Amino acid sequence: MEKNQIPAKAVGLGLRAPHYEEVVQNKPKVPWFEVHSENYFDECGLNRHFLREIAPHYPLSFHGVGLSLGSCDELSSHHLKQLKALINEFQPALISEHLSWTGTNGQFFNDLLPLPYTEEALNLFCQKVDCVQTELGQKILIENPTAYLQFAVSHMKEWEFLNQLQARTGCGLLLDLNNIYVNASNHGDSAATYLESINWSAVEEIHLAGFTVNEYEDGAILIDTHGSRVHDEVWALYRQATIQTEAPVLIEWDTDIPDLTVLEEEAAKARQINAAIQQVAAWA
Amino acid sequence: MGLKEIQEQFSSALLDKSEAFSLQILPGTFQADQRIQLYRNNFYISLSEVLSGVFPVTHALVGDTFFAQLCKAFIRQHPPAEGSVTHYGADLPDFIACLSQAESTPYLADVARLEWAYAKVNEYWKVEMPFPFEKLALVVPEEWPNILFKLAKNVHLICSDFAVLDIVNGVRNDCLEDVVVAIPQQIIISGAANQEIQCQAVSPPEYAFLEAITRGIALGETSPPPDFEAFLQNMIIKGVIDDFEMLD
Ligand SMILES: [Fe+2]
Repeated sequence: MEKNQIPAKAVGLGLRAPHYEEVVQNKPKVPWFEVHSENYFDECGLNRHFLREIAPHYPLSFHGVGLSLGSCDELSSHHLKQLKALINEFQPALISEHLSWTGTNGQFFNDLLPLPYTEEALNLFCQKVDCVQTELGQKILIENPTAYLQFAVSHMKEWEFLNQLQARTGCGLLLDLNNIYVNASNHGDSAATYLESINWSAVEEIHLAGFTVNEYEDGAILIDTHGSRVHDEVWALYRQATIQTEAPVLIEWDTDIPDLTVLEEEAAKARQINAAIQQVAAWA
Repeated sequence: MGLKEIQEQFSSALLDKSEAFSLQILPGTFQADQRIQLYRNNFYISLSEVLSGVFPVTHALVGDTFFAQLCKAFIRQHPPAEGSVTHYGADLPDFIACLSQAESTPYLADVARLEWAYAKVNEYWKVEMPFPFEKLALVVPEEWPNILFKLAKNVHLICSDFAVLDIVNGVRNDCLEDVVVAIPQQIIISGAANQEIQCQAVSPPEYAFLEAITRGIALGETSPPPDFEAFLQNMIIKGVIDDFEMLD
């Protein structure tokens, strides 16, 4: 196996600054790490230094949050250039971005903002993904985001939009099961239908994360804070997903970052589910 | 409504609460403005957290309420200009300097300047750059006026009418009462390899010398500070000066 390949169904962890020292010193048995690309753009930065220490020992996945592919603005050539330099240096196994936009007219909002699922948005998004894949000379994965509102003009389901995007650009899909659950709960949609309808052959990575519940007078909204353990409902979706795909899975944790041991416990849970499903398959 | 119009209206709604928001959103348990408020909160709160992380002393000096208002006003006027927030906050010191509400704390902008520099030095990986002493020893005395000393890449200079380094240290060590604010201070922030970040006050002639070399001025054209040799050695040891070149 090549250094930069991620094994099938391998359960990786998000690499975050509080864990650098421990990972450098103890080289924990983690099959792969995912990093947020933008944090490593600065070639003289401390983050880049730690990545140089860690990269020789683990396959990597670069997960972007700032390319703003869904924006009507032009792609930022500066952003793309920095991403390309990072990819050239580290040769990650996977590169991903989000089905969202983060800014317009040169102003950015530090968030993954929702798109209307229209033909116009699909055309624009396909064009941007084509452009990035051509520039990078390789495939990228696109992740399903959370959205706290739905536009009246949308006339496609998100999975329909993603399937068409994939068919037209040849991109891969990164399926975040927590996001599917959060959206389904907030909008009264069916996560099961989503999982039945998505093109599994294009899914190359799975995300698992935790959400929080904001309670209001009128009801509750789930927020994808990525600051807690994976909820049981999302584990249930993972049981269904892992029958469909060999894709590697990531335990994603971005706020209130705990000790590495907590992340490893979550990873062990995912591995147990994989093993159980495999056993069932063997009996069958 | 087309995509561009949706994105422009969404942006206006994030930046300004009073902005008429006519996006057509599917009805549900929550109203459109409640849903937009979630995004608005995330926008202001996440960036305020970024700013508080970079400017903790500024935050402590003005208190939570004022800092929150300051962030909100700053974020509204200066939203990030790129998809990454790594460089977000560079304009905050100048923003504070122009703020009428900060007139009673005229040192605040320079405190923020010092914090920004500190954060930049902190993010920078300090590569060991041994000063080329052997090369310097080969320079004959007649050539000394042509030496241009070089500041290391991760060095910042700050000149203030106020004792901002004492203020920052006072806040950090919880002994602000003893600080005499209205004393000008010239400060160097640097981070040599394997060393803690150094924030040190220097004398006006020392500052003038360092400032001159950042402008590419050769030794012969500067007025070296008193006890120059000791000063130079100290600057080299602390990783402030890490190289030189000969100008003709
Ligand atoms: Fe995710």
